[in-house]
Amino acid sequence: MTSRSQEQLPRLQAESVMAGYDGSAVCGQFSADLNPGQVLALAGANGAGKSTMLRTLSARQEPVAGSIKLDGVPADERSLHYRRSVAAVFDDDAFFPALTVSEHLLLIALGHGLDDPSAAVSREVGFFGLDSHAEDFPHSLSSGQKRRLLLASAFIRPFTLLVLDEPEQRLDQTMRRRLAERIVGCAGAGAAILLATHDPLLLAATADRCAVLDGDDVAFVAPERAAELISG
Amino acid sequence: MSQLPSAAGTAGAVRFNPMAFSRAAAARHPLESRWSVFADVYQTLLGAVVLISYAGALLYGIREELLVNAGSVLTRSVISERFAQVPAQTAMAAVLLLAASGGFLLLLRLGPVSATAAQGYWWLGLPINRRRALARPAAGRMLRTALVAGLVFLPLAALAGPAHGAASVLLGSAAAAAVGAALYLAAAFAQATAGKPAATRVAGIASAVGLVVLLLPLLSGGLASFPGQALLLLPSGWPLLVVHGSIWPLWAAAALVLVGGCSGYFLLRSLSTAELTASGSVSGHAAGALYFGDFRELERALDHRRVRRRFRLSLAPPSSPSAVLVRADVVAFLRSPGKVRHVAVMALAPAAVGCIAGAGSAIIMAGVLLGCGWAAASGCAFVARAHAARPVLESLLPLAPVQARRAHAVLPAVGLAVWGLVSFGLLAVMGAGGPSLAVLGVLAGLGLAGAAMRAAFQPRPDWTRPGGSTSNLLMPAGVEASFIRGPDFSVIAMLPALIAVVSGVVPWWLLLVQAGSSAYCLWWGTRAE
Repeated sequence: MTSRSQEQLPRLQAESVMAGYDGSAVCGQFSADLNPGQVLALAGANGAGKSTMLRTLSARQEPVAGSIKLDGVPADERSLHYRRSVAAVFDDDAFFPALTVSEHLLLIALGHGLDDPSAAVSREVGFFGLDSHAEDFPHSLSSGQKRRLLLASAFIRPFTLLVLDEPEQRLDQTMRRRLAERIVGCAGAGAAILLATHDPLLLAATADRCAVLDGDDVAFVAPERAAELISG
Repeated sequence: MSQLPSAAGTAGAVRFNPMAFSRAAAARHPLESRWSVFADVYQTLLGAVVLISYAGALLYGIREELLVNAGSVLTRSVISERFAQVPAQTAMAAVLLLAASGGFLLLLRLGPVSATAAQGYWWLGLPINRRRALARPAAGRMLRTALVAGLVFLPLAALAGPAHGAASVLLGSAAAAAVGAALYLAAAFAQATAGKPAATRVAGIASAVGLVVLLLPLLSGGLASFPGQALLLLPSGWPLLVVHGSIWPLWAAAALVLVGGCSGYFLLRSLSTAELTASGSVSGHAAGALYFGDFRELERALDHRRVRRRFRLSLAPPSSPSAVLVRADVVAFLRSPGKVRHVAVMALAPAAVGCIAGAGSAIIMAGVLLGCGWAAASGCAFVARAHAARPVLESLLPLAPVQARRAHAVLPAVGLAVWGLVSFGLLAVMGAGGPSLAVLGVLAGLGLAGAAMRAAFQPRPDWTRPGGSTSNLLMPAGVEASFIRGPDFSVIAMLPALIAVVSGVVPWWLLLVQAGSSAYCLWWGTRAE
C-alpha cells in the first residue's frame, strides 16, 4: 500500500519556489512536478540563477519562498531518506588528498551498502574512462578527470532523484555523448533527473521538459526549442 | 546501470564508518612518514610549552617588576590615585570575562562544529548515522578547546593564587578547561539552533560589561557601590573561585558540560551540510594561516565576509578621482561589521588598564599604548589592505599609484588621529600629562597611519619558496620582512609620545620631534614604491 502511494506521488514537487540569497530572489518563481522517469532541464544565460535554483530545488539551500517536497514530504538534505534517494553533483571539486580515485568511489559504494562494491567501482571507473588513473590521487588528475570522478560518485550509488549542475563542463564530446546515454538509461529505469545545462545537444538528447530562466520569468518550453535558444 | 534504492525511506542507516575507512585507506599510502608526523607532534608540544613558559614569565615579570613601584621612572605610576581603583581580583574577573566572550565569538566564527568540503561531499551525503559521524570530530574539537582554556589559565592561576599551592592551581586550570568545554557546547548549541546572531550579541554585551567595569572609576569617579565580586559568579570567573578554594564551581562547570554535551549530541542532526562546510572553510583557512604563522591571512580568514548595506556611497559629484576612492573607503569601512567598534575598544583599552590598581606603571602603559595603537592601525587599514591585494577600483580611475595610495591613507589617518586623541586624551585626564599629551596622541595617530599603509602595501610573502636561514628562524625569503613591515614604523611613529608618557612631561621640542617622525612615517607609507 505504501509503495503504491509512493509510486503515484511526484518524485519532486516545487511550489512557488523563489531561489536566492539573504531573502532576495535571483530569478523568477518556479513551480513544477518531476515524476519518476522524467528529465527536467534548467537553461538560461550566465547568472540567470540556474545553479541557485538547482541547489534550492535539491534542498541544499533554503528557498527565499515556496516549498519543495521529495516523495511527498518536505525535502531535507539532512534526512536519511534524502541521502539515500538523492544523488547530486555540483561544481565543487572537493577530494581527500590521501585517497585514490578508486578509494573515493569505494567509500561511496560501501557507504550506500552496495552488495558488490568492488565490482561497482570497476564498472564506473571503466565507464568514465578512469581505468589508468584508478590508483592515482586526485591532485594528479586533470580538471576533466576530476569532473568524471565526481560524476562517477553519483552514478555508482542507488538514487531515485539525480541532480546535475552543468554536468557537461570540462568533458570532451565523447564523454558528453556517453553521459547523455547514461542519463536517459537512468530515467528509463525510473529515476527522476533534474539538470542545468548550457549544452544544446545534451539538453535535446536527455530532457523531457525544459525551464528557461530569464530574469523574473520562468518559461517551460520543449527541449528542442530550448536547445535552439541556447544555440542562439 | 544505477539501480533505484529499494524501499527508500523505510530502511535504516547503513552501518559504515567513513572516517575509519578514510583513515585506513590513507594509512596504506601515507603522504607523510611516521617520523614527520612525530616531528609535527613534537614541535606542537614544544611550542605549547614554550608559549606557556613565556606567558608565565611575562606575567610574573609584570607582577614582580613592572607593577606600580616607587623605585624607578619606568615603574612609577602615571595614573592619579583617584582613577587607579579597580582591585586586582575584580580586574582579573573582568579580564576573564573579556577572554571568555572573545573565545566564544571565535568559536562561533569557526563553527564550532564543521566539516571540510571533501567531508561534506563524500561523507555527509551517505545514508549513515549522521549524528554519530559528526559527534566524534566535534568531541575532539571540544577537548582541544578545553585543553587550550586550561593551559591559557595555568599561568594566570599560578599568579592569582600562589599561596594556595599547586593543587588549587591545577584545580583552577581544570575548572577553566571545563568552562572552555561549556563555551564550546554553548557555541555549538547556537550553531545548531540558528542562534549565532543572538549569541554574538550576548558575547558583545559581555565584552562591553567587562570593559565598562574596568572603566568605572573614569565613568563614575568611584567604585564604592560596585559589587566587583559579582563578576566572579559568572562562569568566566569560576576558575578563579576554584583557585581561591571553592569547589562548587568545578562541579557546576562539569554539570554544564554534561548537560551541554547531551543536548549538543541531540542537536547535531539539525546542522545542515552548507552550515558545516561554510564553517569548515573558515576554520580550515584559519588553521592554515596559523600553521604558517601568517597573521594577515589569519585576520582575513576570521573576518566576516558579510557587509551591511546601511551606508550608501554619496552620489554628489566628487571633486577629484581621489575623492571617489576616499568615499569608497569610508563606505567599505562603515559597512564592515565590527571595525568601528574595534577601533573604539582599542582607544578605551589603555584607560581601562590604567584604572586597575597597581597596573598604571609607566612601562606597562607604554606597552599597552603601543599594542593598542598597532591593533587600531591594523583595523583602520583593512580597506587599504583589501585594495592592495586587489587594486580593482584604482585601476579604473585616472590616478597615479602614489595618488591612489595617498587617497587610501586618508581613512586610516583620520581614524587613528581620533584614536590618538581619545586614548592619550583619557590618559591626560587620568593624570598622565597635560593637554599637550592629547596633541602628541593625535600626531602619533597620523604616524601610525603611515605604518599601517606600509604594512598594507607590503609585498605578499611567498610561502611556497624554499626556506632559508633568517636572523630568527628558518623560513622562506621575504616572510620575515612581512612580519616586520608595519610594526617597525609603529614604534617610530609612537616613540616620542611614549617617551612623554614614561617621563610625565611634554616639552615643546618633543611635539616637534613627534610631528617630524609622524610626517616621515606618513610620507614613507604613502610613497609609490
